[in-house]
Amino acid sequence: MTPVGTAVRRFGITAREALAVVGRRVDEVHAAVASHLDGGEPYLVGSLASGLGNERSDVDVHVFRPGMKGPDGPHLCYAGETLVDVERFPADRPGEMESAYRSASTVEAPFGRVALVEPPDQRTGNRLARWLHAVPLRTQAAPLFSDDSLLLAVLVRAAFEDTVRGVALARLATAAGLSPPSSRFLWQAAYRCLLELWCRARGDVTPGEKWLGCRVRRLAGDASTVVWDEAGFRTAAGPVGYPGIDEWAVVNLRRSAGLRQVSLGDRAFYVTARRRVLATVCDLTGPLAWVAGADQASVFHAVRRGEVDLVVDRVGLEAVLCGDREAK
Amino acid sequence: MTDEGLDLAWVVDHGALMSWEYALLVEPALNDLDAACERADFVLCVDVAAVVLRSVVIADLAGQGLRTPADPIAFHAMLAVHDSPAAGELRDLPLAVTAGRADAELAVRAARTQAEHLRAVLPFELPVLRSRDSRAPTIRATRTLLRLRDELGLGPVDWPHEGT
Repeated sequence: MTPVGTAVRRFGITAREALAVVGRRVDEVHAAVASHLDGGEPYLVGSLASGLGNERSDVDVHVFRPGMKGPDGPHLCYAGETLVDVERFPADRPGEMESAYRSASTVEAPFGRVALVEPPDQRTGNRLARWLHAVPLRTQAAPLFSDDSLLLAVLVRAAFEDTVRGVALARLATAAGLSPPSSRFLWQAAYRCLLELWCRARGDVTPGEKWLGCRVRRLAGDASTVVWDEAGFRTAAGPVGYPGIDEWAVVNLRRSAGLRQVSLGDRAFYVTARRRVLATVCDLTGPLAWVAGADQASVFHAVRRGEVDLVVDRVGLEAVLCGDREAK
Repeated sequence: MTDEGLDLAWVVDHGALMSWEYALLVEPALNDLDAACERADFVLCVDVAAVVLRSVVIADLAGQGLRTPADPIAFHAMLAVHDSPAAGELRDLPLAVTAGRADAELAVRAARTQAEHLRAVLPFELPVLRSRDSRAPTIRATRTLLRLRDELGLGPVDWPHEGT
């Protein structure tokens, strides 16, 4: 197993090496995106910048430009036959993102260094991950972040929370008596969350579900455990350093943020964020350990229909993370 | 399609979203699948096959007017029990990190088959969106769609993309 690190891995990639994978040179890509620069600085992001990708990969370029109020794009350009996907952002956006977490404490958990902070939403987290692996097209360009180790700890926190929620859901499905293929699928999904956590703790934050297996392989990870159920998951979790916790005690059921009530004629309905109209919805809230006891199947399907969300109890989770250790 | 034809409101709303999801998600994933097969990278083949199958489910759900949750854990709850053939194939996939040639071949076949089944029920097909010459035909299709929506008193298309 690769030792746990506290820095983002670069995989020794330069723009020249990354673009060679798709048979392109830096000057060709620079020329393709030139009309979108307007004084901005271009960085290669995505799978090629993360040391993955193949000859059919698109080239993703993010331009950081002073004077912009918000992001724009994507703008599609071509370097020869290679698609170059350009998005532009205000030049100070990475700095703002870094500032938002500057005061965050961290703790050394058995699986890696983790931030004691609310992690970003999915979209922001993906963007942060891409920027952490960004490679400047111009070698003299400055790095996007001054301290990427803290931002790495933020993304480790996000992966840890996803794993905890994934396990909570898989346990719920099993307790609800879902069919073996359904239950097995959710345990494998929880295992994938665990592998994502393992990769991030080792500095590999490459986004994109399709690269997970390749990332585990290049970090020389041992993924030989068959995870079809909770026992398999716990066996795989030990070497990763995932703690032995009761996920149901640190995951709460909460009325879905996207749920709203409407009246139509003489009847009241609920409209879900998934665009379904329901006559009644689950009204249970609180830790899963309390609320799942009565009818696990109803709770599972309420999650599935978007009536309730599974959210982490951050105070409870940080108590688990810190134990008797001091946060830095 | 019955001899009454397709419902226009469905075509310009849920059906259009289904076609767009196919062009935006399924088609690029199929391209990635071809690349993984060319390299005989079995691990990547299975992981990309899973992306194809998830994308097929998203497009299928769009055709039913269902939006996919942005939260991956909530999406897993949907995928675990969804009764479409694509979701069933997704649940049967082996774990990518330990995949060998036989696993990869099964996964690739399942992904291509389900993508083909979806393609057969799309109300219309868009040009390959990320190709060099797709811009003009895509703009034409969008204009026609907006005109038909306007005739029905529908507003602009509410592009979902919460779950991708």
